[in-house]
Amino acid sequence: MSVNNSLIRLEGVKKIFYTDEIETHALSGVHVEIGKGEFVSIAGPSGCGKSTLLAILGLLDTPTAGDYLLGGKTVSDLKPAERARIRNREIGFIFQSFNLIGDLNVFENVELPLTYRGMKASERRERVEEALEKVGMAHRARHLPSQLSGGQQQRVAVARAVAGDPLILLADEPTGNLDSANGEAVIQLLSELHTQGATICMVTHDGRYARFAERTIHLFDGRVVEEKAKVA
Amino acid sequence: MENILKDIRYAVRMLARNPGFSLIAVLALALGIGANSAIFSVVNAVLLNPLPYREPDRLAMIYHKYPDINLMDASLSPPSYVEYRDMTASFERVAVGAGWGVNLTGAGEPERLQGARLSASFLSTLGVEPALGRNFIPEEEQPGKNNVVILSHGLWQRQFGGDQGILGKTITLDGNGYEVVGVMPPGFSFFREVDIWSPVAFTPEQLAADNHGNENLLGIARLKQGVSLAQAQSEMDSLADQLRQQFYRNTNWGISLVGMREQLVGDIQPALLILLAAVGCVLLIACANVANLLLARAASRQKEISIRAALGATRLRVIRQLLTESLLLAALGGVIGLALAYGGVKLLIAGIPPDIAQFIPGWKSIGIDSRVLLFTLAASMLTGIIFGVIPAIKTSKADLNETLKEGGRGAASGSRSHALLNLFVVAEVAISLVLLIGAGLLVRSFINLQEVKPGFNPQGVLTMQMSLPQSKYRERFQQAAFFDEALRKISSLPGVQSAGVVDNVPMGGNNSQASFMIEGLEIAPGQSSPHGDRHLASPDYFKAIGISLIRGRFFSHQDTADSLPVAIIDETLAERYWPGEDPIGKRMGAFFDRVDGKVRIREIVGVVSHVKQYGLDGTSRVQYYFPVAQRPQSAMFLVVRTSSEPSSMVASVRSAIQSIDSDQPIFSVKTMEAIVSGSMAQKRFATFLLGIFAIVAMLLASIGIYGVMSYSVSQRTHEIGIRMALGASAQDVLRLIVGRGMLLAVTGVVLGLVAAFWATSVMSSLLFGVTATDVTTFIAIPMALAAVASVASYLPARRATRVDPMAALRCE
Repeated sequence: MSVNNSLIRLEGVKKIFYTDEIETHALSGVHVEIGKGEFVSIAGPSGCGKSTLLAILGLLDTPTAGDYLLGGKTVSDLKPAERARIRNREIGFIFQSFNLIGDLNVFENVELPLTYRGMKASERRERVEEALEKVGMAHRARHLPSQLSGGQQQRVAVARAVAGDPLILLADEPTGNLDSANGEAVIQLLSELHTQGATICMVTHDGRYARFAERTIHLFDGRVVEEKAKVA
Repeated sequence: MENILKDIRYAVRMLARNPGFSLIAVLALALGIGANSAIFSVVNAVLLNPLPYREPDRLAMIYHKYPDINLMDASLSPPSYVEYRDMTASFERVAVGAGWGVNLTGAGEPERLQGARLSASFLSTLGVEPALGRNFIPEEEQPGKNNVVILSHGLWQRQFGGDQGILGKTITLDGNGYEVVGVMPPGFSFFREVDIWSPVAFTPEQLAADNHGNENLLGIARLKQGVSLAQAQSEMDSLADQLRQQFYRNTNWGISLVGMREQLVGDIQPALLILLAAVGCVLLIACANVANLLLARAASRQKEISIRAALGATRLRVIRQLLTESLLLAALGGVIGLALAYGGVKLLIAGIPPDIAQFIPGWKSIGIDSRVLLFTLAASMLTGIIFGVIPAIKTSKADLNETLKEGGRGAASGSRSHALLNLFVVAEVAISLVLLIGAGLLVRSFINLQEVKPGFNPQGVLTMQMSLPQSKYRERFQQAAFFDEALRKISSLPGVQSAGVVDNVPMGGNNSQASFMIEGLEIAPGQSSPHGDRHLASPDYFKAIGISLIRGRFFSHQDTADSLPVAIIDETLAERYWPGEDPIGKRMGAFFDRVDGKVRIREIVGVVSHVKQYGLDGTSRVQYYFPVAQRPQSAMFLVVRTSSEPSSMVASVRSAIQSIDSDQPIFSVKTMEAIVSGSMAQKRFATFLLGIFAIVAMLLASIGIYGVMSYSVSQRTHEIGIRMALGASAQDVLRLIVGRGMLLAVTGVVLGLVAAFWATSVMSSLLFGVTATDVTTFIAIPMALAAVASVASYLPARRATRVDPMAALRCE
């Protein structure tokens, strides 16, 4: 499927894991394109390669073969430091298990990627406050993650992901560890961010949340088996 | 800067969150850093600080040497002093000095003073000036004009209350008046603590050419600017060739120059450097332990590090954060270590008796100065980097995708982490084995030393020194009469078994050697006359100190100034010059013992046991004794054997002396056991310190093995559960875990043995009666270490056998 204004483009991406003498093909020649401002969900049964695909998109992992273009530039064979720089500036992550740092408070967690960017303290503060405001967590800025509910932790994780104003938000089962009410709230939040112009790619196997995306890519056995756009 | 502060703040938070880990790590580091700083403070004061003399590298000692009798540090004679002063071009100045003991009276309590007679240029050769008053002038080197003194700062304060008007005043020494012309600055000493200095004055007879054999002066020289020690030695060798022809025709006599630093610290340097290397090893082991703790902790921090990386932290940035934590740990360890070093330095100073420490230059200035602080800072920072860098690199290398997954295990449990943990443990075992073997060799040496028979019985013996003033006891018969009377009174005291006098007690630090002749023994051209330790002793000295009679008789009260001159020799002299013969009745004489210019021939009347005069491990020379009645002298040691505690007799002995002469002080009161013990103090202390360091090293290594095995067991709980579910017995599990621990220990032991073979070769000079590759030590210590390692592995292994297979499997 061709996408106008392409932000992400995967061409023939393969990922093979080697364990002892066994090869496991997690992805087998995947072609994916995501346009700027799109909200795409990746769905499929457990073990189909969803998370591997998201890890490659997030430059947390490298493809065994194939090309990955982000913003028109090939990023599949960059050096670790350059990959770290892109992760910091162009990509925002939201994980299923929130992955907040327990020893940092909410403000510091959200501030962390901006610190790595070398941003001035005053600008950091402004951005963090804005991001926390956006997710409705400004009032808990000085709390530690352990003092928050799961839903609140995930909202903080969303704030951390958007604070750096990335090109794309990658969310891996963002509702997986939440009850339905909190899950719904997080999806609503992502939806609002999308409405404000954010590009989002979300892995989920929950049909209720996949419907919030404009397009759903179905994976099976490491291949894209179906792409379905949402009917307006 | 802001980011660094953030890193530090986070590091503080991390350490506070793991108080157990932080405490163990900080304590281990504090112990290592503290021990290093304490030993370094000694090295700094003794070896690194410049000697307290102007341009000390230009200072040298001048010795006469007699290679064929292995006497390489003989003193100078008055005529040789004049020759070296006037006939050499390499020296800016040459000076001599000699010991001088005097009784100070008329200034309160009579006090025995340790002094020195110096040539006028002595202090200026050293490059030191009196703090008050002036130096000696050449005119004062003449007899009759040398009744001037310079006081030590200590004596000035102690006896004269720091009187600013002391200059020009006359003080009474041995009954004679001396004008005070100067006061030395505080802390000045040369070789040993001295209270007072006066110019040496030579008579024409003393400076005569035939007085070359009267060698009793300590010679020093200041090299001219730009002249090296080797160049000066070469000139002295040429001069020696000339002088040998004229004055030392029958010997292979020579002159040797020894650099002042080499002279002053040469003996203690190897022991200090070995101790510094040992504490360095302890610190390395502490580093390895903390690194292992960090590596084990890395497993629980993988997720945090991965999150940071996922959010864009570069690897360098993560390493920086982790290193900040390590450096903070090291800094805390450094602060506590410095406090430990402060206490350690006090212990070190207390560990060496003052009468031995006074010969160690810089001993008084040992303390925590800016250089020690800088060393501690550098050691702390280096330590932080050493133990932090590998775990930081390892931890920062996370598999992001795997770690960030829900339930991801993280990379630290991988085989590479284990390899690193294992490597550190192997290194710890190897290093601690080197230390243990070193300490083992020293302990064996010390045991051997204690088993050495000194040739006398020090138990129950009291010694003290007396020096009769020339003004009151000018004639030799007066001196002899005083000591006779004193011994008669002391011998009759209740509790005294026997009492005698001798010129030098064994191991007391004062020794006299002299060349001698044996009737009928021809000396080949180019060979020196026999040389040995000479003693003047009273009849009961031998009984009092416990020297056994092997043949013949001891001196008796019939051996008087008017009777047949007699001598007693020791068994080594008898064996060397009359092997297989009876030496009783043979005749000998000593060159210092002349009547009308001729050597007095004496008949040998007894053979006694050989005495370890220079310490239990000291060089041995042949020994001979003359009756003090036949050659009295004013300064003697009183030796009293008591049936009760010797120290309890001091008061009654003192009052016996004062009943003869109330002005006569006694000094250097010590038991013979204390003298023997003091002679071993330096070795005992080095052995004790190295032993402590080795035990700490072994404990740290054991903790390391225990830690790694515990961590391994916690990581393999699931695997152990499976094994047990499949039928493995507790014994199987025990074997599995202990086997792995022992593999590490044995690998470390093998590497340690190789290192120890090399390392112990440098400590040969500290060993006694044991070789640097002593087989017993090289077998026993590794076995002991392996036993400790097996216990350290057994404890976690026993825990592993208690794993509930179902619980372990459910964990997955």
